[in-house]
Amino acid sequence: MLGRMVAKAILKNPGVSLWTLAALTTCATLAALFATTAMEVQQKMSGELRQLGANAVAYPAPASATLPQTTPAPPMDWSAIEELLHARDVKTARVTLHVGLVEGRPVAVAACNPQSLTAMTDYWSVTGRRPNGSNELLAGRRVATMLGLSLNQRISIQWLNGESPGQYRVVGIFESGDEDEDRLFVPQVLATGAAVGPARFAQVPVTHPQVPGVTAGRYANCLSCHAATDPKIRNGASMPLSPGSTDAGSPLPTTSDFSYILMSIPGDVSAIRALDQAINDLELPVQITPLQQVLHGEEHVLTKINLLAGLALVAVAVLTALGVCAAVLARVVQRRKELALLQSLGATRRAVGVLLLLENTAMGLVATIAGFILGTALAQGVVRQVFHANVQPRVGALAAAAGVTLGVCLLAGWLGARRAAQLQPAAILRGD
Amino acid sequence: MNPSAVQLESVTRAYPGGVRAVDGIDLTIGLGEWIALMGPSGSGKTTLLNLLDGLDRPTDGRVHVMGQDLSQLDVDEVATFRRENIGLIFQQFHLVSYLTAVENVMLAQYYHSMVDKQEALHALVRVQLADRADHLPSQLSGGEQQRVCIARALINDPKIILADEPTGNLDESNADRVVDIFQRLHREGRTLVVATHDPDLGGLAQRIVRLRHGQIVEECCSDGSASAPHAARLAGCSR
Repeated sequence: MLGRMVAKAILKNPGVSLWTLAALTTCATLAALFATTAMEVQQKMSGELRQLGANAVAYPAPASATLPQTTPAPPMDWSAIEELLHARDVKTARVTLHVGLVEGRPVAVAACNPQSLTAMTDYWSVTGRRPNGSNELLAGRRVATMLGLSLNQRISIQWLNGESPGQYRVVGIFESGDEDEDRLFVPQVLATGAAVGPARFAQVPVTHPQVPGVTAGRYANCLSCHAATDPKIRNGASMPLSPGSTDAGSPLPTTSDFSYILMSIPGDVSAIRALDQAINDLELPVQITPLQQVLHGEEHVLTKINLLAGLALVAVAVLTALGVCAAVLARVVQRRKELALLQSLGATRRAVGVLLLLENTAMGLVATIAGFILGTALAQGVVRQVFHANVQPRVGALAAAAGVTLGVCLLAGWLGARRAAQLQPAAILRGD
Repeated sequence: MNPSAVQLESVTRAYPGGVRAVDGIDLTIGLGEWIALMGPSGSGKTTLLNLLDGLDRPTDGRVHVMGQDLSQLDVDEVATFRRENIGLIFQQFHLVSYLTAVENVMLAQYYHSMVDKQEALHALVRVQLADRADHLPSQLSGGEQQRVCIARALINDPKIILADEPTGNLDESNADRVVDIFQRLHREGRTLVVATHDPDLGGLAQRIVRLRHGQIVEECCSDGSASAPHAARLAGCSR
């Protein structure tokens, strides 16, 4: 009986019902649109950024990297780490840093598999091309400027251990916007062949020459930085080949080979933190660091998008609530005789309130379904426009649409019930 | 006198501005008694009925219905009491416009206990509306609507029937049908309180209570004969 009354009451007042339904459907549509878009953007942006390459880097943990002055750096065994990373579908590129001399100037030389490097650094802007052959070299913009390198120029890199110099042709100069621009990138095989493993390098302290406590991981970055910025190094044309001293007599900022792994971890920052935690749990001598400039930017953008969507949704919900409340109150006034009659037949105020709430909830459910379909379709259009991808209907969006819409319905129904409770049935039925 | 169905003790209903729609009325109505409330418009008949059914509350005095002091009950308790004990018949019928005749009857069942369509249909049979059960109020004549209203009032087997101008909007033929129904209800032993301008309907009551300016100005008894002219049936009542 109640269901029949609810259905017939809604159909009996088509004007007000349509207005209410339209307002609620708009609310549900926008809720579904914002929710779907926010979720899709988060996923798609993460996906897009993942396509840019690495989002984290694995360094040897400080405890194993900071060595006593006289202790040779033990070679880092990455096999366990790489096994774990591959098991988690993490794309990797292991980079080994060496110090080399080009025309007597110290430079940071990074050795890496070219294909892996390309996968991790797809966002680099390369003038020329990336290396294909074993004697080809990709130079960072800043180090190329410092050394006066140009495309197709052939250079010789001398290794500090006295191995025969490597001969390379500069096939590309890249811009990355970070410290990689201070490095020369060579194919790993040749570099490994040239260096013949870490033990072949002079074993020298790996602490920062000027900043105490800086560990090997950071030092590797500092090294290239110094190569580009330290006047002593930049101008040190007379850099001796033997490690441990400069022409000024101070310690040479050199190191044994130092490796790290660039990683593209599926997911967002939390996935990176989870992986770091997993590595810590396994007590592997490695620490994971997000590439902050990308991830913080990503988080920042996503936070702003979510905030914007949330604020818009609140605004929509408030406006819809105002509209629906007005419609419900209008319905109460319009149906005051009917509601008074129900009370005269013995309906309690609560029963009348339940009737109004059910009417609103029924319209809210219809609006939720319609709004979810419309909102998802609109989100499809937005996401296709921005990301050229399709969206899937999301349960979260349905929940958001239902939550907001039914929340508005219940609020309006509650106000209507309150208004109905204030009716004076005797006066209304008398015709006053 | 029968045990009282209704007892009013110095009941007053005053409105803001000092208007007293009901002014200090004392009245006792016995179980199974048929009372007619008569008087000119604005004399307080409808207000008195609303005080009896609990839709309105006195500003002073007490209203006892079936031994229950309504002033002791809150709004929802009064509603519960009303659906158990009182059937209401309105001059304007007050049917829910989007429900059919039988659904309007079932509505009273719903708020009383549980819906039984067969019983609702039987109630319509009793008022000779079985063939109009699935019609909307807008598809019914005034007399038919009033009979639906009566069926609805009777569906929960109330002890007291309060009727406000039940024939006021009906033609003579339909009014006669309603009168017949009332007489049957009286024979069944129900307590009837009918507010009316109609002297013929009023003349059928056992007692006529005449109101003016919210006060009882006259009470008289009738022989309750439906066949005699109303003037002759009223004993001790002025016309």
